[in-house]
Amino acid sequence: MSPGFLRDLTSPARPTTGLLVLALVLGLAPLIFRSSLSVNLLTQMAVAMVACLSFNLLYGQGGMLSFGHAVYSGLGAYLAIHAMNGIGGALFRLPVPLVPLAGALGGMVAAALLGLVATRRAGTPFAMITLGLGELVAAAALMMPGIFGGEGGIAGNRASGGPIAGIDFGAALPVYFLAAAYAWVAAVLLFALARTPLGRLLNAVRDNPERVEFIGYDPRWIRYWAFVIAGCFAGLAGGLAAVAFEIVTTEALGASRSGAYLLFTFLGGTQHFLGPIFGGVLMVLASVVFSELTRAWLLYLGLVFIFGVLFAPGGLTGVAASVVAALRRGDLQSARARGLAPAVAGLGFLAGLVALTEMLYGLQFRSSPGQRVRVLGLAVDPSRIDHWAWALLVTAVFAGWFGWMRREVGRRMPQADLSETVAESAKATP
Amino acid sequence: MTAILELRDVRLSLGTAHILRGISLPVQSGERVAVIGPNGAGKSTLFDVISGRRAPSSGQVLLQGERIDGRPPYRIHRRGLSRSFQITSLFSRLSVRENLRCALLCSEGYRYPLLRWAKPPAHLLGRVAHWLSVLGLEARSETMVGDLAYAEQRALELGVTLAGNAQVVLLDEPTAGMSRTETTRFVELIRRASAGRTLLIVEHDMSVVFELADQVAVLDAGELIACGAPATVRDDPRVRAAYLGPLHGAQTPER
Repeated sequence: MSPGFLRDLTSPARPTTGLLVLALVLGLAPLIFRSSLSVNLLTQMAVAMVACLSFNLLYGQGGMLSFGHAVYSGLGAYLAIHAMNGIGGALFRLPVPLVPLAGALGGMVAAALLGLVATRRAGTPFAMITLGLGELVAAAALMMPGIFGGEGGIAGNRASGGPIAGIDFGAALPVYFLAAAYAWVAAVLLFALARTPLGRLLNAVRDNPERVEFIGYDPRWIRYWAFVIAGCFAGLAGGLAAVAFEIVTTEALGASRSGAYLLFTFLGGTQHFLGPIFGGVLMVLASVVFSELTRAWLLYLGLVFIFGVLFAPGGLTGVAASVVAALRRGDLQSARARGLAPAVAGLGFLAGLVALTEMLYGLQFRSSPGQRVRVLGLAVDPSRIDHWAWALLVTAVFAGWFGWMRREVGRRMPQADLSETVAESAKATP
Repeated sequence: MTAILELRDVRLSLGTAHILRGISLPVQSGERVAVIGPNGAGKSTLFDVISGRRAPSSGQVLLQGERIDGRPPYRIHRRGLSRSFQITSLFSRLSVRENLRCALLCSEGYRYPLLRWAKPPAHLLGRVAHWLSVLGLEARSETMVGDLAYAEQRALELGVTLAGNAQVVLLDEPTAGMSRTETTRFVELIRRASAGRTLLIVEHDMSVVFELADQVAVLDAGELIACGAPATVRDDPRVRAAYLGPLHGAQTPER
């Protein structure tokens, strides 16, 4: 890389604090959460971060809404697990720390090929093409069980090569640090990329592809480069997942995985560099932790997503940015109106809906009449009308409060409120 | 002297509609040519053909002696032709500074930016600062383009068009929607910022035309009906009949 690249990266005006904090958090997290379950979760979070960051290079930076991003992480994961197992018997077996790089290569090559088709168009056609490519690759994978292992997938063993440089990668903690190190490097590289001329032009292509043509660049090539780079980082995430789980199934290529990348990146926030990092954390929390708590977790996830799209289009980091901006101005009232109060009302509303849903589930699945279901720590009897009434009341009250608040905010700070929020989050965008 | 930009019998038909009917126009280096004509005469379409947004059905467009017709806009831009848009067309979620920076990249030698890291950014940033001061937008440099006032957006539109140092510049109604005083100031800005370049300008405001242009080309229903010095064109009976006549060359038909 040239000196210009480094100058852009190290210039003192650039907010690199976030990356330092991220390094600290990644390094200290396993010292605080020490159980093997939590180390496992942390590893998954590191992997999900990389996936969401790569997705957001396309969506947040380049305005390309991909419905098939799991294709690149999945193909990367397959190449990685084959590299870990040894391609052609034990002839070529990659040492565990390098396996994620095989994933990156796989994702990049796949994106370089499929990107030729996908990036010819932007906007809705791009989204459609990625959806089609995703279905196509997932179907093709099932037709080639020799490579993709059919329904059962391909299993591997990261311990089979023995310790490397005295580190036993069979254990959970070394794997966490491997994933965390790769995740941090990926974050730094993508952060730097956003500051290069390519990153800037990618933003320009997002905002106005036609004008880009009239300042001397072909928007298709810029989209293509971004697509290949995003594919590379998605493949890296896949490679890390292959090392962490020691199994890759065709689910890793599928539409639901692609949907999860989209959904959680959005919830984290697409206009802030830290957004996808939070998105990755949320993804693991939701799909591993919440799914243990309730059968209806996908339903709640859908609710939260719709809620986010409607009322917090900047995601978690978007809301945080506008609250921080208000606090910095010393405008406590505005900070409360934009952050705390809607969050409380929204959570209350959600709690009401959760209660209603769980009671409905209780009616459907209970083994005996009068059996109670636990809703947020309360024992509720779904056959009692007064319990239903309470749940409805909670839902209605919080929904009403939320709606009233939005009207008030809209009346007191019309337009200005919106554009300021957008300006804040755009400022935070690298 | 050879023409820096030359149109040779440029025609454009869409289905049965003949939008441009054989336009030939040589433009000498350093000239300022105003293209005028009633609405629907094909002025903006002519700009689209020259700048590569549309390919002509037949005929040739030559830039510095080389054919550019039918080439994609970004290639034409790299050969030194830049255009602005009638409806402001900028990068709305980037700051003023970033917009100018993007507009300059190409002329700084950044081709496909990943493959080649041409010059240190100090030089580029210096040029951005220069343009900010020319446009009078220094105080707004970190403002997002979407939040700019209309006149500021028009100034930036001009800046983004000129910043890449293109030799031939096409301005599509640069003063559209501006007040009288804003227009006067803006014409001065155009004159200053485009000094030494070849200028083609579509304009409805006749005072702007007669103030800026050395040559006036009159388009009517896809045909070039007159071309020459402003005074000569003003007195041409055909031009009067088609366009200027009813208003005696004073104002635009739209306003």
